[in-house]
Amino acid sequence: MKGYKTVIGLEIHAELSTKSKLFCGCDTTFGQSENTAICPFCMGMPGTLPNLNKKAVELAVKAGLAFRCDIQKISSFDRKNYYYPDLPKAYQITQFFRPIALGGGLEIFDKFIPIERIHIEEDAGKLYHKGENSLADYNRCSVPLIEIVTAPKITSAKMARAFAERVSRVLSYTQVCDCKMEQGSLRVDVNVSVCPEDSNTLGTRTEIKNLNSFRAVEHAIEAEAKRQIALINGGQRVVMQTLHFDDVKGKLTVLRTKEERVDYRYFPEPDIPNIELNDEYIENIKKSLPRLPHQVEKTLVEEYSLSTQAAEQISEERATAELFEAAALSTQNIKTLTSLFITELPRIKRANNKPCLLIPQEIACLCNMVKDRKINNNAAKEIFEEMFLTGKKALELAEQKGFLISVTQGDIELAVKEVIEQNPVAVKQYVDGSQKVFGFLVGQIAKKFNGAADPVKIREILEKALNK
Amino acid sequence: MKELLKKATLKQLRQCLINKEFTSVELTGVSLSLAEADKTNSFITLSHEKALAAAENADKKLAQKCAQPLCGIPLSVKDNICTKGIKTTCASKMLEDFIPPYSATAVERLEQDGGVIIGKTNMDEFAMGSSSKTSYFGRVLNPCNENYVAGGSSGGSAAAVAAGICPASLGSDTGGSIRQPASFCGVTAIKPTYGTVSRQGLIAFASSLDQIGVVAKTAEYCAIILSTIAGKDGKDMTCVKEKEEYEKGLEIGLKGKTIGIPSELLLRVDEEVLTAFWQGIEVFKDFGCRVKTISLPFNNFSSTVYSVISSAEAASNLARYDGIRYGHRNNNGETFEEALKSLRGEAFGFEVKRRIMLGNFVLSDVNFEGYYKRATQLRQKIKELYNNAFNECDVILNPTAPTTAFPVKDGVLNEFSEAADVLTLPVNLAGLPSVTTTCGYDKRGLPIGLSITAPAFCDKLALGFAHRFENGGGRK
Repeated sequence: MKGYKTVIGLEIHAELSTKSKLFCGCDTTFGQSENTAICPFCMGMPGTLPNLNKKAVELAVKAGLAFRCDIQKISSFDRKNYYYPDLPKAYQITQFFRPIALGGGLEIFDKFIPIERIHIEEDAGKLYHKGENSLADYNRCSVPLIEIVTAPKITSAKMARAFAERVSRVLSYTQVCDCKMEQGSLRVDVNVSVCPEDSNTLGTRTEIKNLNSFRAVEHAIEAEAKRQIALINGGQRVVMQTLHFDDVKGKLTVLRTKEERVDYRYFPEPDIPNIELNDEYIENIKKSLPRLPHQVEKTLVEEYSLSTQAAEQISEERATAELFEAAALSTQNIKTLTSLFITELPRIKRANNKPCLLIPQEIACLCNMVKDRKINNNAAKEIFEEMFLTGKKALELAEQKGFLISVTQGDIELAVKEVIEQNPVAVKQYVDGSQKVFGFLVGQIAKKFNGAADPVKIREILEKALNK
Repeated sequence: MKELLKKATLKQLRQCLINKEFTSVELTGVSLSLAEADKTNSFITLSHEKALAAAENADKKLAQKCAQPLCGIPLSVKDNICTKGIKTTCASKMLEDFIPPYSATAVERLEQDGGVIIGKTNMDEFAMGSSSKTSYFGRVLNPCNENYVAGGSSGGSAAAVAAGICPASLGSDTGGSIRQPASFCGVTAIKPTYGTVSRQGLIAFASSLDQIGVVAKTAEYCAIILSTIAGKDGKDMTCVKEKEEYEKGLEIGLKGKTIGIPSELLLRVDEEVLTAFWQGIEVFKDFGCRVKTISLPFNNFSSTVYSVISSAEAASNLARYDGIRYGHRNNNGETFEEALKSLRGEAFGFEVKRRIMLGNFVLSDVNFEGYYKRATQLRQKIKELYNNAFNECDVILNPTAPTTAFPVKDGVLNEFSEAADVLTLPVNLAGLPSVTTTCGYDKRGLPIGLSITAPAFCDKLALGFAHRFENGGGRK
């Protein structure tokens, strides 16, 4: 794509992890039967009024602080008016004029991407089309969302994807959102435009709505930039459009053009007083913030000498990083610990879609056993998986599986004596100065224990016996 | 008993119930039969069964001597206030068969205190109008003279009380909708300070202006009912006022109190109305009130500000009627948009459509700054003007309406123009409490109302002024 640069802005919708909806007491749990988590308010019945969920405000403030935004001491709600069968009130309550957070941003690839605003809003319901009929499910109506809007400062599809991934990681860490994209709890809209590399004027932008995987974010932007450049090179103009991206087919389709633009007739929501926050409230939420992914990464690199890549992988999920750090407190064997977390843990998770029952003290114990040569590395891997699945203790599992190297000094001395007697030729060669046969003799001894004896111990005792 | 129901005070009715001179079931029966025989069309729905069941319940409570002040008293409720299990139509074809599965908080509180709701009163469609002629269920006539309208939009509530069917009724007031019909029918009414009564269950017309209020025979009745229905509610974030006993201490001292009379608001008032108004002022002078001319120079723009804001909110509030989950539905149209056009087109009346169009016009992208935003700025100005005025006086008095009730056969001018509400709507824009009571009659025998407006949350002061006026020979 020589000669053109791509300019991208993101709008990320994240469902807030509240038990009840934004303006009523209905349950927000995903996947309930159609139209069971509804009440007169979220059905838009006449005479009903919104009642703001304080927890949603708290989570929005938390997100704002995590992205280093200015939390607004006074913010308010507005109505966005439009007709759609999944919108029972025929308006969405959102924050248009005065959002709860302004400014802020994140660093991606050493570039600071500014966040313009974060606002709170309610979700709409869902429509299903079955044959001739359209069916409406209102369970999702009024589920709380925040929308995170970036400045158009992202310059590649990869950077956009990395930004979205980073946002998702921060939201998970702060428990603002569970970020299950497959359930729609995190959705990304992208604005894309292209312009000549040496130009400072932004080209006409298009919007791709409701991308529900990071892969789709990257691929949709790539496809759209390519489409726009081809248009320009073909002497045509890019027109303002809203597009849909089919991730499977990799295809873009037009949802609507500018001429069909909806006038949302925004105005202040008269049913909800302003949200007024004081310094103490904001300060308390700030104090409750956990360490954020980049801080955890830094700790892993600095405290445990992990590579940046390993640190990034381990800190992908807050629970994993915390497990790692808790285990690291009780073991010096960081090498085994890291290797278990980098190679074993992802494999185990992929292979068994089950909850992790690992206990940090037991992981540490396992690493210590490896260090003390009570078990070997392969045994450690197998025990680790068993611990993940059953939550059992490391030692117990090692014993059960017969992995414990329980050979005594006397057993080894006896075996050494036998092997020396059975291999006079080799012993003579060693005495004559051949180091090569030493390994052969060690192997012979180890064989007698089926690998359960500590090779270091064997070498020690054999060397002593031969040098007598 | 009919005469008693018409003339007795709430206290007297209560005493009769306690003394078992008659039961609530009997009283309710009389009230229901009066409503059935009513020629003014003040009711849309009568709820015989539920009312009699409630009355029976009240009689039990009365027998156990543990009854609250309203126990066993027949009351009515405007048909834009939701009543669980009883049709709530907003006087519109759109909600012709709508039975809400919940009651408004105000209704719940009335019922908790033993009030017996006999039915739902007629009104202008979606409370839009000043005549109760826009009702899908036919116009409401004035019980004082059936050639004249009852006023609106709470025309049915005012007419029912004036006709002696029930001693009090809940109404709603967005720009004068309780006070103007009360004035036309010769009864008392209060529009409380915005935020005093929960709007939960009040079908919204203009959310920042709407307030549930009371129409009753006297200011004291209004106060008793208001004590029951007012006070914070977890279901309405804009309802902020703590509970208060409005009926206690109504005998306020008036000596030395200053009454402000806004000269601008008297400019377009009929002569007969003015004469009665000034006679009313004399009564207050006799009590020792000082009278001061004040200035509220918003006549030129208050009606426009009201039109813009109320229509904008109405357009949004009424957009939910799409026929999908409740309300009028037909099977026309291939697409959602076509279906909407068809069902909304046939189920909303002219006046409702006019305001929806106006509201969407002022909210549209190109007009928002010039109309809606400008109107909210001017609304702020009106609030400031009132605040300044209250530095000079305790209450503000003016005629409730520029004229007495208009003839039923009149053209479109009066009922479709906010001009009829020019004296009442500024109070809604400022969110203030205002009480209307009768200060005289014109030569056709039609009542003339006088309004007492107090600072925000001084509802009791306004009620006190009205109460003293009514008991001190002011009431004609």
